[in-house]
Amino acid sequence: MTVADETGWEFDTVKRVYANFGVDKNGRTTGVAWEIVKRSPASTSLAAEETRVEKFSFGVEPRDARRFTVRAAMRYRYAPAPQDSSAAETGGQTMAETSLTLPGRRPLVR
Amino acid sequence: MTTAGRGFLSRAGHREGFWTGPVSSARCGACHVEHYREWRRSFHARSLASEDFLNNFARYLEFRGAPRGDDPGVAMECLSCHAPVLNAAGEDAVYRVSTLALARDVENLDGYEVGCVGCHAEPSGAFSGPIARPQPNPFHASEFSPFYKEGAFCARCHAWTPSSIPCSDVYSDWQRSLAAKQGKTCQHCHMAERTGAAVAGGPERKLHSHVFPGARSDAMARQGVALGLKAGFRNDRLEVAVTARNLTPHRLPDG
Repeated sequence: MTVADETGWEFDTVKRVYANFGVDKNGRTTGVAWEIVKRSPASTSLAAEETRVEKFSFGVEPRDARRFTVRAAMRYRYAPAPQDSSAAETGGQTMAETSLTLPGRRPLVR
Repeated sequence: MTTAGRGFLSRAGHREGFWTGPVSSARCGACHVEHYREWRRSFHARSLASEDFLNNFARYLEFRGAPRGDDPGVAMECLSCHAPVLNAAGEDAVYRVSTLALARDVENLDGYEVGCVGCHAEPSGAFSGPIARPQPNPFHASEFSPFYKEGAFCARCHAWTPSSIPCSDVYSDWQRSLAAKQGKTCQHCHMAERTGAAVAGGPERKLHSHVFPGARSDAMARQGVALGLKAGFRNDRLEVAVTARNLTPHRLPDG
């Protein structure tokens, strides 16, 4: 998630990570596949056919820009990204992107 | 874990000389040209050769106290999926593959990966597939099996049973999904259908892609999720709501 002004200046970038975790035999949360004995409620992966709403609040006021662009993107990354994957170089495979613009109230500078 | 004695690797094929060791998929590709080309691009073809596998296999054997690959049972916890032909091979073959993988001797692992034999060879020596009336040929007997159209076929590796390593667990998600109720299987998305010849010069058939695209495929990744966005100012703060809709019948990410 990125919020930028009309010049492309980014006010803020926020990330959410969707990942799978399990519980090891000692009850500890782990991401190492072979230590997992059961799924963990700590997993943040999207469930099958799930619709999830993520809410964000930015300390940005209308007077901070003449126009705001809000962008959201979801990328698929391997953990760790295999060296033989193009995703390792590109920072992940883009799954979806969307954006919108909002008018701001920053006065024109003369 | 292993089935020592069944001897896949020492079993003579029903056509002399066809099976005298691990069968490279390239050999099948001499006739099944398109299937082979597609499969070469797939991650199934790299099940023993990817950096990810080679690193994790070594780490796992070390974790289990068998760092040299000399415990076939431990090695098969990975290789039963990554080298499925070993499920019908002796322990010596399991040791050989483990040693080659630990030495990163990828060239000599050819024929052991998730290839043609791993999915299509029957214990009888015949090769099976979803083609209802396979043509007789001089290389192998052919059998029809409807199992290739079922999600359960993929579950042999893409499901988590308590004794296995949960590398991939998409099948149990899919079983509970709306897609499953609608009759959409794994193959529906991951093995796109087309018409063409299954072998060079053969009759036109309904064929299925053997690229098996997943999240590494740009096109497939973009079919997996839909994003929605709403934003507005409230009390001089920018409030944003992002809707992420998983369009797949399994968790995202998997593994």
